[in-house]
Amino acid sequence: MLKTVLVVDDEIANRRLPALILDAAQYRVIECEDGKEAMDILNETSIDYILLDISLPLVNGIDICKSIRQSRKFDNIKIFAYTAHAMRDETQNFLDSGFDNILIKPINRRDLLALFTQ
Amino acid sequence: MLNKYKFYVGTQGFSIRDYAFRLFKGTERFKINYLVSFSFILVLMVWYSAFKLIKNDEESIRNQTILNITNLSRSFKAYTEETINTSDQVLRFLRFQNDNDQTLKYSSIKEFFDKGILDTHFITSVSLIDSNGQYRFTSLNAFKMQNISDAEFFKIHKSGYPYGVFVSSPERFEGDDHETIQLTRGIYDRTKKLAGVAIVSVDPRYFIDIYKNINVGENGIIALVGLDGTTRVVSKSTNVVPNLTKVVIPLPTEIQSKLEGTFISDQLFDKVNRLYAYQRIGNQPLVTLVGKNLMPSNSDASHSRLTYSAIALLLTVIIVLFLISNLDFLNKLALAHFEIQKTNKKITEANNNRSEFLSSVSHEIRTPLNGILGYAEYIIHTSKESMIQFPAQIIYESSQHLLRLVNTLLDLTLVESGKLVIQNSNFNFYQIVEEVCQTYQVRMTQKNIKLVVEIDDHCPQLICLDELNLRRILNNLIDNAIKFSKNAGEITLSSQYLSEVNSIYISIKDNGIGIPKEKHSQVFEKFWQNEDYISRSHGGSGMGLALTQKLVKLMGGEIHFNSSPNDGSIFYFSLPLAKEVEYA
Repeated sequence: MLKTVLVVDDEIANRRLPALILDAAQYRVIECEDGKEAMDILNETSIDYILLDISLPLVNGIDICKSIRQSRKFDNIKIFAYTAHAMRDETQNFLDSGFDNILIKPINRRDLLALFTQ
Repeated sequence: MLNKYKFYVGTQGFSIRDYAFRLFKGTERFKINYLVSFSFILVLMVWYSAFKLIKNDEESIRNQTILNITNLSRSFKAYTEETINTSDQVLRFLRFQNDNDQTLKYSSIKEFFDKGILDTHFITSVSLIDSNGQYRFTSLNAFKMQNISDAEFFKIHKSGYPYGVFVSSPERFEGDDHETIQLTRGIYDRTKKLAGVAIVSVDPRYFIDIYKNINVGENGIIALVGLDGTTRVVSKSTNVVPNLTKVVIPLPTEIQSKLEGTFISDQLFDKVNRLYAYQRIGNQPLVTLVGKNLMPSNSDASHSRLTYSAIALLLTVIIVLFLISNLDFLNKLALAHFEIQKTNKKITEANNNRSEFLSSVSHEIRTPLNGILGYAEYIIHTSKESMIQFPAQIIYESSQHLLRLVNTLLDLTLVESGKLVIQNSNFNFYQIVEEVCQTYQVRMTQKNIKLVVEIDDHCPQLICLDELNLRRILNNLIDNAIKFSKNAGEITLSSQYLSEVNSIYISIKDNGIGIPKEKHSQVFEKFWQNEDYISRSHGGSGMGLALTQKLVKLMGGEIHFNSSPNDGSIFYFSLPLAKEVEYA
């Protein structure tokens, strides 16, 4: 059974990059552009990991993460912040908001895969 | 219109008051209140002391005055009593002679005066009158022997005078060239009926002549007064002829019952306020009065009053000036405080803005770098064609370089603006070293550099430090070592645990080009490069070592280096381990 990763990022370049790497590494990858789409997918499909960008249109990643964390049925989903916000107080804020870990842009292949094999 | 105008004025007034209130609020306001109260109390104390001193001075002067005039009054009394006693001897002698010889004549008495048996130098005349007031004889030559039964002394003796000698007020009798005081003694027969009166006349000036040279001060007074207030002799000040006119003065009632004392009055002889000392004369209804002017224009008292007042005034002026100057100072202080607060606020705002700016810049650079680096790596990883791999590799490395540059720049700015806070956590030290070293694998292989890692057995695996900062330090030093290593060079990273100071010690040694001695002092300076900007072949921002030193210091450690050209460099630093973080 392949693990399913949902990648949420409004920029296609940044969304496709982890998707390509993960796809090659035998993950099932679903891409979407914003929080609304993400919620729809979450309700339809079984998801194991979410790579969630923070600076998204309409609803930002922090609020999306918080709303996912409100529901008990998503308790097993690991949510990783996928962001270029690298300042320490910002990353601490992400962890406090319910993210399991943080993947800081620019990413590299090794760090990305390490995140999913932990 | 009027209302509008009023409202305008009101608002202006309020805003100014409001501003002033804001200026003086807090400690400055408190200090000003404190200072004003303190100065006020000080001024009060100064004036209280001045008045106290003036009062003390006045009191002592007054006591001195009382002593002086009491003494004067006493000697005046003694002198007067002596005069009266001497006169009484003459009077008693006259009475005795009269009792023995009813036909007594002056010529038979004159012999006693002439021989000096009776002391008569102050007596102007002696007389004897019979029971009807008719002169029996008198020492006055051209005197008409008239009946003087109307005279006061005759009436007094006829009604039985109990004090013996009666001292009359000055009176001018016919034939006298000036007023005289009569000292008289009644002569009574066995049935206590008046048989005659012996009279001794005395020049009133005699009583006070001896005080001519004694200074009772300006407007002072010496007087001999009857208890009923009838004056006998009054001498105002010393150089003036005594006033011989008989007047009645209002003596205080206490004189009637006391033998001596003092009182203050401005009603006795004139309107001058004097301190009087009185002495009762023997058994006579007479008192001596010595009065000293209490308000002389240039007395010691008024002098001291003036001096003390002047000093108090001077001190008051000094205190007020001090207060004003300090108020001005505090005012300025408050203004400065206000300005500093304003500036501080601006700085804080600017700092916050800078942080936001930094964070924004960081985000905006990292986002496109994610695309460049990520896809370059992806191409390198997936492409089999060297024609594509080579340029992808160049893109990858150039962007890596750019990323390091941006990271270092941002970190340095964070450290310098005090925004970088140490965050300690427990981590595996061996693993971190390995991870850091691994990121340089490709670069080292390219330059054929050998990296030796020697971690001492005593080094704990699990340590508590700021992991990210440790990574930054190691990255910078290893990056530097690779940069300045020659091809096929060797880099040694060794680490030890310093148990005495609970620190880890790490050194990174290369056998590269080294740093010339004269440049050692600049190594940790920002933008310093081992070579000239133009000729440099090693790249780098010149910020790595500056950041490294700042980070080591921030973590409480020290960093040093040894280096000489062509022998390579060794950078070594120690970091005190933090107490292990306990996770809940």
